[in-house]
Amino acid sequence: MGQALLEVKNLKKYFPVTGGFFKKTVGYIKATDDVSFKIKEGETLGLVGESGCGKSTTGRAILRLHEPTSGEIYYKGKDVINASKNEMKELRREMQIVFQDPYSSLNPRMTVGQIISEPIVQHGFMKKGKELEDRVCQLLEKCGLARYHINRYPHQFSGGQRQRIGIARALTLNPSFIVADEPVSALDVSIQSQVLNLMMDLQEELGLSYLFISHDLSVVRHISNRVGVMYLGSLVELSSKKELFQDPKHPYTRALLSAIPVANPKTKKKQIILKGDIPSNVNPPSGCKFHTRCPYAEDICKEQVPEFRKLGDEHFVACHLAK
Amino acid sequence: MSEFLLDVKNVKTHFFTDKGVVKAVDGVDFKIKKGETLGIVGESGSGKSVTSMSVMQLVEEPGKTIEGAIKFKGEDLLQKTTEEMQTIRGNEISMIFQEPMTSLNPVFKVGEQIMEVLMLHQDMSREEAKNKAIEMLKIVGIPRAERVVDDYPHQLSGGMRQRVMIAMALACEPSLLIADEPTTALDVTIQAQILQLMNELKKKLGTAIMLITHDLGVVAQMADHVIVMYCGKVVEDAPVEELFENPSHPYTKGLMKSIPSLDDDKRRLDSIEGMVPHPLRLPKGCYFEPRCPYAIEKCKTHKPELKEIASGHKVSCFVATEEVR
Repeated sequence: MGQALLEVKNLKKYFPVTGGFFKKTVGYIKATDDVSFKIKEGETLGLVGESGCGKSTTGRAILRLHEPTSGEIYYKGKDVINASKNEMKELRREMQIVFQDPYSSLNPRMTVGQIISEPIVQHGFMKKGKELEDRVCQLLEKCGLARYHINRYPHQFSGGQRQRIGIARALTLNPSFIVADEPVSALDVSIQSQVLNLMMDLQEELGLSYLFISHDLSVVRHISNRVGVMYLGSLVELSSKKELFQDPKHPYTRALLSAIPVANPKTKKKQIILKGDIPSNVNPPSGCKFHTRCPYAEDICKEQVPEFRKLGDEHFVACHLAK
Repeated sequence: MSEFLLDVKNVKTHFFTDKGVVKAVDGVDFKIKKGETLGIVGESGSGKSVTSMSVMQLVEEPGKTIEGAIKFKGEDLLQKTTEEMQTIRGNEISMIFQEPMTSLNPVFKVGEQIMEVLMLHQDMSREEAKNKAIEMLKIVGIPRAERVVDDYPHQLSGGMRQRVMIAMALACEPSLLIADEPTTALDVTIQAQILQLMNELKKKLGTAIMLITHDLGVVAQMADHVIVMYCGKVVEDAPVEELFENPSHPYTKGLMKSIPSLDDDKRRLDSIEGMVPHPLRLPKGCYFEPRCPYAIEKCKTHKPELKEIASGHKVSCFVATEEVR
């Protein structure tokens, strides 16, 4: 694996909360609050966390689908945040996204052929014709669909097939980086494994890098090289997959891992059951955001924001007490 | 009265659509003992939710349960009148659904919604009902229950709403609780809380649970006995430990292999090829045959039936049952 393909530094995305008659801004939802990480070429970085932790916002902010509030993003050394409209169009050829819901992310009035060829025509690579059709068919076949699907509409496909169309669309411009936002969450398990296999095959063949966002730890563990865990807008732990799953340092990561039901009735593992709900990210708790639910919290956790410290080789943790 | 609380025999619920008859549930058998948890596993479209709706008799037009018997405490629910069913539903059998937001009424306070059940089924006065509602909210672990009774559903988080649903479902101390994907919409840490709660309540109140889910992990943790459904039929039926130790139907095997495991480092996942057939264009023989890696000639033309291969372990597959013989 080579150098950093993507570098994210102190990324913040705040959404204003408006209230009152004049829709004055009364507060901010800190969806992504000071997140930094790097993705190397050909690597998959998994981003896990529960709903509302800001993992999707982070993914979208990187592509500037949500305009970041502050921070720096570099793609192959190019500044993404300050890129002009034209530069951004260029960048988007290389940075693509696959969405979660294969039912709402495909235009129901366009045929599969139109959906997949649109980016090619938009970016002026090819004109409509035989050559374009061949390219679309080639993409369909690469993603496990058939040539004759080209004239069908999205509603004629199952969930798994639609997700394949979404992946084919993301691949049209030969990108090198794909944000996959919960790409298998809406699919049944038997179909989920087909799509995961497809994504891994494509990665090997085309040398893609993924930012793989999911709430499902076992899926993330399967596909990622490194994993970041998010809680209330911040990364709490980031490490190689092996270390994260064998030796999780942050109490939240530990609780998250222990909460997954294991498909084996004989292993009665000891669960750490967290108390209470995830706090609101309009008024996140002071100090360490996790202290309200943390079984080990001490006084320092309520007062000081923990630093994102390096604990081992490539292992970062934001916890005062982790060793 | 038999030892079984619920005895479902050869139930067929079909939907008569303009395009043809969809056999959503097609000859399903299962039994639930008192205080037992039965897991029903299957993917979307396998008929697991329609099975639960058939038990509750909430199947809507154009669907109809056309055959079979659903014996609850020895009496056939299919022979009951609408009024008789109403006294059973919510009282002796109650249900919790997947999406706690859409199954609570947004314009009534949560307390009112729990009280309604109690006043209707248990003839309680408003005051008694309110006290019981607060008690139930405390049982399901809601902090500040005295205040939460006066909250509206939108003021609560997803996990809290699901707790309210459980409080409502258990208010009349039913002997059977049907839980249709109760934790699918929740986050893992909240899911762990809710599953633990359901297990505690089952022990405390002796409620039998019919747990419908697509998550084999949840089944492994919760169920005593499991049935696996595919295209409206039960393909495997076994005690939970036996099923996970010795899955015998190729579909069950495939499902187990396609879950990414937390402690296994395989590069590729095994997956089941193809997809669930269209309900109006089902294969002639075994419904799983087009996707089955072990299929033989016979599978294309004949439909297998559930056969016992070990004590309490039944499979409907020609190949699996022949291996044993």
